[in-house]
Amino acid sequence: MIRRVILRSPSAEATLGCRDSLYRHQMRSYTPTAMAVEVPDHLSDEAVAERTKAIENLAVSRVGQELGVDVVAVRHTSADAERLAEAAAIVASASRKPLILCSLDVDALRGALETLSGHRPLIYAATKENWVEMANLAEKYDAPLAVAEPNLDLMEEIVRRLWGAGVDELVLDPGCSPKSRNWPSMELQSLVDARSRALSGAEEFAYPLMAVTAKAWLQTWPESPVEAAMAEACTAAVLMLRYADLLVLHASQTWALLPLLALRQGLFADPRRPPKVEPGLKAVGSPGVDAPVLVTTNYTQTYHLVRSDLERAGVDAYLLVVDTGGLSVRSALAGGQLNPKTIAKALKEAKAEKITKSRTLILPGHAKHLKSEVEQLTGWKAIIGPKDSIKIGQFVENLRNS
Amino acid sequence: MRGIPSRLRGEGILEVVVGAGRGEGGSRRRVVRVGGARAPPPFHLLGDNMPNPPAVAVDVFDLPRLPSPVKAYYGDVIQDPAEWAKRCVEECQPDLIALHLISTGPALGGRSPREAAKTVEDVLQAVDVPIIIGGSGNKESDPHVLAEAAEVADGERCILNSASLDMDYGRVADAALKHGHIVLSWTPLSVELQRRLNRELMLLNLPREQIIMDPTTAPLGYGMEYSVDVVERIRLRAFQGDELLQMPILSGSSNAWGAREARLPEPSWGPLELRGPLWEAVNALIMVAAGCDLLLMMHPQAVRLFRRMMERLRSTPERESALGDSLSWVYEELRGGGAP
Repeated sequence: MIRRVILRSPSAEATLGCRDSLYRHQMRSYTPTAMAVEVPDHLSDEAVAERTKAIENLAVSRVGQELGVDVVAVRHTSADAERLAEAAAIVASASRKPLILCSLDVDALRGALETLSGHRPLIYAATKENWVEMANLAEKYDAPLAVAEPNLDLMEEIVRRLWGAGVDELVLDPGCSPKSRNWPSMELQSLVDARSRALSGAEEFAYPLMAVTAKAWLQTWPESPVEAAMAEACTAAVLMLRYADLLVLHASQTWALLPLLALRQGLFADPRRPPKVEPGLKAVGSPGVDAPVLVTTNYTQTYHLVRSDLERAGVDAYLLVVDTGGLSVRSALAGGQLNPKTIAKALKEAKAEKITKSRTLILPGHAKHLKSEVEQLTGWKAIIGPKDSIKIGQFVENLRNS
Repeated sequence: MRGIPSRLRGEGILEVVVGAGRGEGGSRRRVVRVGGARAPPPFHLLGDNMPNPPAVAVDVFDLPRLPSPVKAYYGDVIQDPAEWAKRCVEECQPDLIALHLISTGPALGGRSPREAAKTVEDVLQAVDVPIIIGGSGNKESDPHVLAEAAEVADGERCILNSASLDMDYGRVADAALKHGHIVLSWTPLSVELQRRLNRELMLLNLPREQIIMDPTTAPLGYGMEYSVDVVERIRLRAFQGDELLQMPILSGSSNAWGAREARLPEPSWGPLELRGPLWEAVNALIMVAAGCDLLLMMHPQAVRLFRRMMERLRSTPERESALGDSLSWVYEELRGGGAP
């Protein structure tokens, strides 16, 4: 049985999944790895709020989706029993996201759980020493519980004991010491081992796995904060591929998180659902009767990129989306799916001549060589647009002025 | 249990030696062993399952073509492929140089195979690492360009980049056989097409030890996950005993620069000089995690970051230190950058 764990805030939830195969092409369900960024509670109230808001506001728009961080993790760096609750309250008011409470101090955790009404945070973490008290907390506040133990045999034992105490909504952190010379190789090995055990039938491991990549910042080999952020992003990417269902990060800059957001968007897209959109003539903005018609393909990524570039540039136009079986412009040109015949066919099927008076097609820059044949087959004038649609706004503007 | 193949089945991935030293018919001072993994992904990265670290080849073009963030490193030498290759060796300490003779493409001037071969000679003179010789991607001219280049590089055990099903791959295979080179067997994201091309090459008497596969790497953010799937499926088949798929795999990770996140100056995404190299390094790491053995890369910082991460990821765990206090991160300040 594969268990899912759901974290909640009053206005959002984050689902932690558990992959059912070691390989993406064999998976049957796709729950994206959740990304958390940590906030230390020893900072001033203002600094806690500021960092939380930065995490809250991190948003990137990609292929028709808004991407960002899912969870905020509050760390008990103050080691002050009351401070964790105060900081958690500030985080909860500055962010709509579900929380993780990170502390080994049961009283501090209890205080924070009392404060957070309407929340269902992840309690981090039960260990071989404190699991009895942590189990009580998890039960009393109906919150999921993380188990942190690098030795998987011991981890298995702790999970059994938690079952005995009636707690079975768990997240497993098999991560190793952040001071280890073997980080992150040991981290990778533990995640692979834990997931392999789960898929071999060990129920004790059939839970979401988590990895704390913030540990990169405690390693001594990155020579600057920038290098630490890069090391963390690289580690997080590999561990996202290799079975972390929840990542706890320190880096919060867009440049460092961007590759992770893009990787996640791709990895957890269901490969059985082809990444294509309906072909046809699509209006962007409010095109008039003489609005330009731009040719592109029906690969989801390509379509959304071109569309968002047009929207961002404020261009009113028609997009002629040619059925290339879901291939990008360059792939479809190489593979022959984007050719003068398929363009002419798309134009005809969309009844474009009834929709617009324009008889000008703008071809993607890479399709330059199709120009004369497209003109012959369609009777339209073809002009060569930019190779990258990011330049489309300027291109259409120049066209209008010429 | 789904999809976990036995780690013991099959013989593992072939090891292909690239480059030939003096006494072996070539003039390289270093040769590179590519492949040799003893377990399928994800186990290949663990323990001593990967005897050879993934090899890095850095791209050099025979025309000044580079994404602008990379250009800064080579700006003054990109008119001269030999000088450029030398600079790459200094900046990146690559295992190989990947020369691309793009000037032979009809769209870029259509330089003759003979002229292009001269560039190959110059680069072989300029550097002592093994080289990958690439064409322009034009299906008509590439077989001729690669055949001519193979001849001037006789005995150097280069990789000819590439043979594909829609070209005269026989000419490329013949040139590799006659002059002692390796053929890069390139297919578009398909296990079955990869298998078919490998078989065709083997039917032309090319030994398996002279084939490296390139099942195409789409850029991170632009379909890389399909490349991950194909590489994993090829590796699973290899470990199930499919002899037509047991060759090492190359990933063109410099394709990462095709992503706009790597090269466009969009202020809301943060500094371009950090974004680009990180994008390329992540692309390379994921493809190695999927099973690739040899990478084409471009940016010196990306190469450096990739190598440092690989060193860490391949280090054999010392269980004692690793099992220490795994929870200290909860309480510590995360400063980063050589903090004691």
